[in-house]
Amino acid sequence: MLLSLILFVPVIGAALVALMPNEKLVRPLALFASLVELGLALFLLQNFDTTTAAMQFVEKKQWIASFGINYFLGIDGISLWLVILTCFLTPIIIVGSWSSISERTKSFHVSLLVLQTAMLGTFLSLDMVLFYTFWELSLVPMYFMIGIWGGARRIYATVKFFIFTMFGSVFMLVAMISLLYLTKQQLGFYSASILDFYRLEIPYIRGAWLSPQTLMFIAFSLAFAIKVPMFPVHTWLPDAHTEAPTPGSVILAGVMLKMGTYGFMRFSIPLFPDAVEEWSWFFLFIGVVGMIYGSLVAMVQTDIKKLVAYSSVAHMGYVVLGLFALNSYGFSGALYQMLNHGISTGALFLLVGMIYDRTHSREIAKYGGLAKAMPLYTICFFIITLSSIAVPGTNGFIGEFLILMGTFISAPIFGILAVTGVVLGAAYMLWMFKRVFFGQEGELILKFKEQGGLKDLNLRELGLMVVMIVMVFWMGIFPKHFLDYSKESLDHLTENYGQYELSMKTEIKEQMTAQVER
Amino acid sequence: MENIISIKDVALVSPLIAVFIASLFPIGIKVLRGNKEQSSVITLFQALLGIGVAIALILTQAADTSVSAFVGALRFDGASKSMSIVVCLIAALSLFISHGNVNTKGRQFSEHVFLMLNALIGMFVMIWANDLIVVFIGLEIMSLALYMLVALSHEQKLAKEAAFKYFILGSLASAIFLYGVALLYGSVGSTYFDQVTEIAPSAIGNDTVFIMGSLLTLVGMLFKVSIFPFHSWTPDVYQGAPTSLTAFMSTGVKIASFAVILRFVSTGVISDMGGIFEILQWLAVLTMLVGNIAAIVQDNFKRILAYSSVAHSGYILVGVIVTGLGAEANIGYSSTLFYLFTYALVNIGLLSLISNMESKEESTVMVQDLRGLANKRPGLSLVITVLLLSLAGIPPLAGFFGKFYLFAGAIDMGLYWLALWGVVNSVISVYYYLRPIVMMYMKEAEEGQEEVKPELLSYLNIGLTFGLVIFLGIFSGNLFEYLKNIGL
Repeated sequence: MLLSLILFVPVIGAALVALMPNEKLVRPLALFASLVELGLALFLLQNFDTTTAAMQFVEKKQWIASFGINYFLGIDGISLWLVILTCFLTPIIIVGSWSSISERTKSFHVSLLVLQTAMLGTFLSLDMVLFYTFWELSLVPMYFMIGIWGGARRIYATVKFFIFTMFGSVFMLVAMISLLYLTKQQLGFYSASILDFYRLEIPYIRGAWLSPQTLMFIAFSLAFAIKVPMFPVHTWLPDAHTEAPTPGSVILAGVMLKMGTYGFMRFSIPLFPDAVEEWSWFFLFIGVVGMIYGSLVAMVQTDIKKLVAYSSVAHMGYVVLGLFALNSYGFSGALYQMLNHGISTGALFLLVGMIYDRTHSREIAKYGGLAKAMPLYTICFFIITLSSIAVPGTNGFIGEFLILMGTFISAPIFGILAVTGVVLGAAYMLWMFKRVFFGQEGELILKFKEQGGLKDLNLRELGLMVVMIVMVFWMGIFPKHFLDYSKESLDHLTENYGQYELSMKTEIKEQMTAQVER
Repeated sequence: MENIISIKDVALVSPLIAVFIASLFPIGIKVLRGNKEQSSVITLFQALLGIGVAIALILTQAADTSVSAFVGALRFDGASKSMSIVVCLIAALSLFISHGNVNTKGRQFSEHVFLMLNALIGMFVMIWANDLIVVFIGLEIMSLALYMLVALSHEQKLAKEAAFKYFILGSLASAIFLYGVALLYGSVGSTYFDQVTEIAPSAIGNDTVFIMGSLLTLVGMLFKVSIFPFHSWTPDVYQGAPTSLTAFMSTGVKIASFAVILRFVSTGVISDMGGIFEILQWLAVLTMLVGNIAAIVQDNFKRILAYSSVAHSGYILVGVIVTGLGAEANIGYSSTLFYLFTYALVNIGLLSLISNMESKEESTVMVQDLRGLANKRPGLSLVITVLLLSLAGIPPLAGFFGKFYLFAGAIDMGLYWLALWGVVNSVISVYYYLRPIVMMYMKEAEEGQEEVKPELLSYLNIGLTFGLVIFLGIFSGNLFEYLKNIGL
């Protein structure tokens, strides 16, 4: 019940928001719904059993009998933190957009809450078709967010986003249906449950393109790679990020990109282990290319937001690297880096949004000397920058360190290349920081000086940043608080991804087997 | 064989008789009143009464058994039952649109209703037919009524052109169909589907007359459902016809024609031999591509829907091929029917909207006319968005599950490449389905564009289809299961 509640509270909130006659109460109501949701998520965290890798809080109801499709939810150490991250970022976004979204506030909050349900659904679904439903559904609210509240080229960006991501996922649909028939062949009954998919022996011929496992692996990975996004299918991301409104960027970078890496972790790697082992070098390669390419392109950006967007490409490159190192450091680093990226890039987008609300410009060249005008803002920006470039003591360090360690163990060459990515990452962030905050006062700063100066962060914005900064240090100093929850699941994945199986906690498992026998 | 028409046969065709009697009321009253129109609400009510009685009569028939009537010329089974109910509903919903549409309301509404109901009768005959000659009779009843219906539009130029075009090409298609039937008769010695089924396995490999006959028969029907390269009439006719007729043709005619096609391919004329299978595969792929790519460059909303209708015929043809190859567990025709029904729903909803936007007889509704609708009518915009997303195949709406079942059928038969073409095409189609949404939500209204006027019955249509699209999406399993369990 708990997971269903978590899944549908945002949608119920969205319905209430839609029916709310008083425009002024829309924001408080949406915030209230998202806080209830956060409370539920924390309650889930508290009751989470850290001693098992099995699926917990499992719920199963028949949905489409003829194909064995069920409404099937469950959570384990891998999805747990992504669910918490989603529920954590949503109230932040609502508070963060308190004054920046002034038009059609109602539709905005409805979209946001529906999007939250869709994202949670992808993380919680244990049924392939249910997963796909939420996966595709998440495009629609995001499409509206970029298209309605976005910048000048928003329509181009949002249509590109929609078509790109959908193009990737339709091949997954075909592969998914093939897997459905494979369950019928091998297990004797139709099932779309991921747990049953894990038990399949998907035919594999080493080195052959046309072996079913390789093809399905390619189909799934294309969908996830576009979502992550990995080089060279990342081109929708800079457009989407630049045109999206601040809250849209935060949710896109903070959670939606993780749907791709989560997909690799939940589907591609355990379902197609042979193909993964054969092709891991390729993913390591494009992971590294993504890191270096993303960093280099970020370096030459003139728009702060575009810079942060390309830094996302680089950071997600790390995650991919960690995943395809295929060892325990790599997996835990990848998972940790997903959370880090959600926090630090989310915070960066919020910060960029805050300055944009004041000056309506994101041109780096027009800034300079901002540190004097907005000291509090500068401090916050600096701390988040440190987190983004992985200085020890911040969350970024733990993730990158684990990933690099994993990579050095499995593929030292890519490890060495990845280290250059780390250096480049520090370079573009610090250079941007220098140009924006120090040096000569730029034309914008001077212009505002004449008008009475730029206002520093207000209490609402400062509060948001404090929360984010607390998370940065908490995750940086006490990684165990977080990784302990995922340890069992990650170890289980590391040891058994070749012969992966997941069980379900509690007695629902027995009911299931009884059903199968009947 | 007993050659006596029993009372049971008459009972089976009673829905047809009910509709026919109902169709005589409006026109009969008009004649008795000295060629003066009675109130259109009463006309509509008479028609709906007839359709309602027909639905009730269909529902009383046993669902799961297959019964023959009129010496085997008609066959009644679960599939024909569900399809007849759906075409009845489509006729009713189309009449709702007609009642408010500028091109059909007012003068000559009685004639319009009379012809609509007679077209419905033709559809019944096509759906029930178990004999190619009976199919032809149904086809002609339906088509003749439709030619006149298109021409009856109050609009003077495009509608007349459309009617003429439809008539010429339709007659050509009928001729091809008849030629095919004649060849089949030459080979089989009968036009009954059962007899064709018996001969098909042996004839399909080597009997050229049989193969040519089957192919021409199919082509005749493919004309009606606008499969490439027989689709060229579709955009012009759909644009020129009154909007209610476009709704009726793109849904009802499609269902009736695909009913015939499904029955015909179930006889086994598609198989690995004979080449028909290869031809149909290519036609399916090309139809999807042509429809979707042509729709991208259109601005006229009705033409977009016309090309999208072509593309959807391509998807449905995949289901037809799966049926023809004899897929297990009825997945072929159940997925085809599911797709047809959900497609029909959405199309009626969207065309109701277009009908609401037509202010003058010559109005052409462009996509641009939707600009800024979300500000003025947020509820309506949301509903339209849902309908468009269903056509694009976004879960959890009915359109997605329609595609899911169709492609599942194709993959079951090993037709991976058809499934791949299908999904790639659904991505292409997203582009033009998103355009109206872009217009509604992301553009500002401008001077001189068509307004949406509130029209009660059309709103009812839109609301109903909206509800069903969501309901049939979330509970698609139930309808699919039902369709799987009934016989074809």
